[in-house]
Amino acid sequence: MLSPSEPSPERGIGDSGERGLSAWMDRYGDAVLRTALFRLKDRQKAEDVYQEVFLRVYRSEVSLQDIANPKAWILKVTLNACRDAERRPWWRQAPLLGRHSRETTESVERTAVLAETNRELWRAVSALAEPFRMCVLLYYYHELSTREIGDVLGVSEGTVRSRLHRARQLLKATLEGGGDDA
Amino acid sequence: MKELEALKRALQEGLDGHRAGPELRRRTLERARAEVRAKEKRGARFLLLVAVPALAAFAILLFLSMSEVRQARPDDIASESTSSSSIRPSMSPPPPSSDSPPSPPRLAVSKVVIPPYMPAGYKVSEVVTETRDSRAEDAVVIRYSALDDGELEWRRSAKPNRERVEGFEPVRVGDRPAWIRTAGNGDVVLIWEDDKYKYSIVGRITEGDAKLMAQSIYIGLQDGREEEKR
Repeated sequence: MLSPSEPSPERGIGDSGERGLSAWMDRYGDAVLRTALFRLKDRQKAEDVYQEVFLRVYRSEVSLQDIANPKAWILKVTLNACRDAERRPWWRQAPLLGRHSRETTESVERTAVLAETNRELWRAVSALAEPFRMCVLLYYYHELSTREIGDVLGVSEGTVRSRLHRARQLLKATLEGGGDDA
Repeated sequence: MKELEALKRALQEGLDGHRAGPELRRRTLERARAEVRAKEKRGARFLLLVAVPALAAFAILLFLSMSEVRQARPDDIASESTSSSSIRPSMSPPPPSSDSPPSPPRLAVSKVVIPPYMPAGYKVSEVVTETRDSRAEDAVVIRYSALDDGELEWRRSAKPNRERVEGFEPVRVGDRPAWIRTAGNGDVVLIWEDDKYKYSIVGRITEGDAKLMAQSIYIGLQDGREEEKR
């Protein structure tokens, strides 16, 4: 299991905390943003999640050394923050003017410069149902083990394996032109 | 295997172009700092609105309770002893100075007897001295309480003048005349005097209990005087 599963929100922040936060962002900033982007398919929401994730880290004063598997841990925090963002009512999701960076207003698909074959594959992955998509992302992109994925998603290792297997089948079927209900 | 490699590449090509830029990092750090400032503000507000007044109130209460303790001088008052020999010679008022005008006797409460007889169910709840004007100690009061909310008070006070005792039934406490009555609210009042003090017992007890209590006090006082003579 990951430890701790969630940072506690009410702890002090100091200079060392800020340095620690920079270290977290240096190491996992891109992974957090990409995971949020992949999940939410919206750059602005992904940036909100990015900030939320690192604020949680900051409040909890968890250093990289405190966590046995920091990558899996922060991805779990990211997915939890994504879930929270999705639950938020739409009027609270609306971004304020100028709040988001200019570099980041386009969707994943528009900015991705993909080779034609990869573009098809990308679309097929994006069309997968949520549980399969996340398993594919964590396994093939973040290269987590099935056990780690189980910890991140809160499911058993067997379930992860089964989802990956099913995801591969669905992708194959889609790419061969016989896509079903994925 | 080939497909899986292609899948990895597709994910990499789709996501690797997205980076958390310096602006996003800066905004995140700013939000974190803002949180710290807000937290400090909340802490200061809490101190100002809650902690400081609470501490002040506590200090006032502490001061008041210390004043009460000093007034009651519990270290000077005998503990809850049932021995009649706990009457000490110092029960006697100090000798009046020859050039001072005659005044009601001042009570010295360096030792106070707790009446040996106590009605069933009652226990001593407090022993206090009451002071009026400039006299050091006008009265010594022992208050009792019972589990059924009964209250009882034994009071020894200076005797400035004789009280009228209309409506009371005369009885005797030792060789002293005493007066007793049961008030309309059910409280029994028993009063008697000696040469120096006036005594009263008031409370929700029976007249028999009041007399027994008075008797035990009287015996205790007599014993104390004999000790004083020796």
